[in-house]
Amino acid sequence: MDFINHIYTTFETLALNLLPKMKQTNQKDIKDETRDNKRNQMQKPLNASRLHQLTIPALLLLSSLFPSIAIGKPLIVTTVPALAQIAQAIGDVDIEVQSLTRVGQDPNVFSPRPGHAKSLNNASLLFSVGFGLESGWLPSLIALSDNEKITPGQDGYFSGADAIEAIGIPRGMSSRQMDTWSPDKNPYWWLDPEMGLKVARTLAIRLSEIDPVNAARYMQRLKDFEYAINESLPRWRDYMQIHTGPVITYHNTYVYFMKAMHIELAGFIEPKAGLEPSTRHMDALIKVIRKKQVRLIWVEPYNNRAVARRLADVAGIKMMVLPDAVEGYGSQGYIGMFDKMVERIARWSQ
Amino acid sequence: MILLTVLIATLVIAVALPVLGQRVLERRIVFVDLALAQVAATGYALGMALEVPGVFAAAATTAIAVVFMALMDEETPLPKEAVMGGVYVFAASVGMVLLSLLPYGEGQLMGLLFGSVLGIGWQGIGELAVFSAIGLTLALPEHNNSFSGRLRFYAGLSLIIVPAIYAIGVLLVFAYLVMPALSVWRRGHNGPAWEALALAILASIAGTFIADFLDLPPSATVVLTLAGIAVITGTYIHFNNLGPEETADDEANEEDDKEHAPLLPGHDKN
Repeated sequence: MDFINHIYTTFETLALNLLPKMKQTNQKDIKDETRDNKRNQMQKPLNASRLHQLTIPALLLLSSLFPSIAIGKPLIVTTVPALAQIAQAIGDVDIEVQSLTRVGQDPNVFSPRPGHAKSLNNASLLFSVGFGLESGWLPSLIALSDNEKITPGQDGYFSGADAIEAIGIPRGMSSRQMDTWSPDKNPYWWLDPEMGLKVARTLAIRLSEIDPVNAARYMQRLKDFEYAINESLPRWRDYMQIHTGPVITYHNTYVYFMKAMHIELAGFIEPKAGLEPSTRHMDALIKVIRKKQVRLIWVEPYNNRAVARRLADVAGIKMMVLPDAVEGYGSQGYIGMFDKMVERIARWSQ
Repeated sequence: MILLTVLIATLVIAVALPVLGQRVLERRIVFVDLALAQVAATGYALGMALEVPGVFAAAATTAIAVVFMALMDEETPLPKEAVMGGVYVFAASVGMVLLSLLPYGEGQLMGLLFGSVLGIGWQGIGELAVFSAIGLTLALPEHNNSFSGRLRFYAGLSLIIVPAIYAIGVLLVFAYLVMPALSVWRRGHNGPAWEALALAILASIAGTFIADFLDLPPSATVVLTLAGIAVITGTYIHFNNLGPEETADDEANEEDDKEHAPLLPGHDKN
C-alpha cells in the first residue's frame, strides 16, 4: 500500500509542478487572444469569446483544486526532512514546505529528479543543511531550477552555515589518526536540538524578510518552538545519562546528538564517508570496546549494517539502527525525532 | 579474529571463482556476474515494493534471468557480452526507478550490492562455501550446448556469484572471477586451472596481511595485490610464450590459425 500511495504522491507533485507553467501559458493565451480579438473582431468574434469562457472557469477550477498555489504562500524547499519540520515549526500554515529527500534516504548521495528542479523553480526559499552535505548534488539542481532567488548569496538561499558554527571531523579515523582534525565540517547539526533552535531563530528572521506581513506570527511560533525544545531537553539528557555509556557509531552522523545529550563517543567504524575500515582498525575498536565497556554500536539507516553487526558480534555487544529523521509535522515531528532516538537507545541499552 | 574471517572468506572465493572464471572467459560472458547480481538486487527492491520477502523475490528474478540467458545458444551470432551488458543496464535502471518510488529503499539495495568482506562471520563463510560447492558441481562439468545444459551452467553460476556478491561485494567477486583466469590466458585459450587457483590463493593471503599491516581497506587491497600478481604472471607467460605446443591441440591450432592468419603469412602451409 505504501508503494501505491507513493506513486500517487509522485504524480501529485508532478501535477503541482506543472501547474504554474500551465497557468502562465494560459494567461499568455488570453493576452494573445485579446490582441487577436481586436484585430479580427469582425472575422471571428464567436470563437475568441468562447475560448475566454472556457479559460476562466478552467483556471478557477484548477485554483480551487490546488488552493496553496492560488493563495500564493511562500514555498520553502528543504533538503532533508528534519529541516522541513523546523521550517514548518516556524511557518506552519503561512508557508508551503517541501523536502527534497525523504526519511531514510542518504542525503550524501541523493540523485534528484526533474520534478525536484521544478519544485525549486517555484521556491521562495531554499533551506539546506550546508557544510558540504549536499555539495554533490545541490549546486547543479539550483542551476537547473532556473530560479535566481535561491542561488547562494541571494535572500532565498539559506543554509545551516548562515546560523551556526559546525564542529570539525577527524582527519582520518584509521587507528593511528583518530586525534588529528581535518578542515572539513560535520554537517549533521540538526541532530542537536539546540543547534536546530539556533538555526530556527535565523530562519524566522529570514522568513520575516521574505514575508513581512506574517513576521509577528513567525516570531511567536519561534517562541513556542523554543519553549517546546527547552522543555524536553533536560528530560532527554536525564534519560540518556541513565541508559548509555560510551558509544561507537558507524559514520560521524550522531556526533552532534551525542554532544547535546552528553554521551561519550568511543570511535567510528567508517574511516571516511564510504570507505571500508581496515582489519587493524576493527581490532583497535574491539580493544576500545573492552576498555571503555562500550555497550552499543549505532548505525545510520542507510549505511552498511553487516560490518557493524560483525563488530558487535565479535565484541559481544549490541548494534542498533538509529534514525536521523522521522515522519511528522513541524515542531512535533522534530521533537518526536529526539523522543524516538532517546526511546530506542534506552530500549537497546537494557 | 576479524583478520581471520577476512582471510578465510577471501580464500573461499579464491578457490571457487577462478576456475569458474575460466568458463566465463572462454564463453565471453564476463558481464554475466554484474548482470546476475543486478537482477538479484532489482528483484530484492521489487520484493520490497510488493511487500514480499526480498530474498524470494531476488531468487525469482534471478531464476528468470538464468532461463533467459540459457535460451541463448552458445554459438549464437549475437555478441553475448552485449546481451549481458544489456541485461545489466536494464536491471539496474528498473531497480533505480523502483527505488525512487520507495521510501527507505536506497540503503538496503546499496547494502545488497556492496557487501563487505569485513561484515562476514563464520556462519556467512559457511553459507558461502555451501553455495559455492553446489554451484561448482552444477557449473563445472562440461555441458552440451542444449537448453538444459546451459541452464545447469547458468544456475550454478548464479548460485555462486549472487550470494558471494551479497556477502563480500562486487569488487572482490569480479576481480577473482576475471583476473586469475585472464592472467594465465594464453594463445586465445584458458591456461591450466591450477595456475589460476594458485595465484588467486597467493593473492588472498598476501593481500589480507598487507591490508592489515598497512592499515588499508581489505577489499581494495586484496584486489590490488591480485592485480599485481596477475600482471606479473601474465607478462611472464606472454614473453616466454608458455602453453601447449601448437601441434599438441588440433582445435587450438585451428583457432590460432584463424587469429594469426594475417600476421603470419605462409602459416597455412603447415
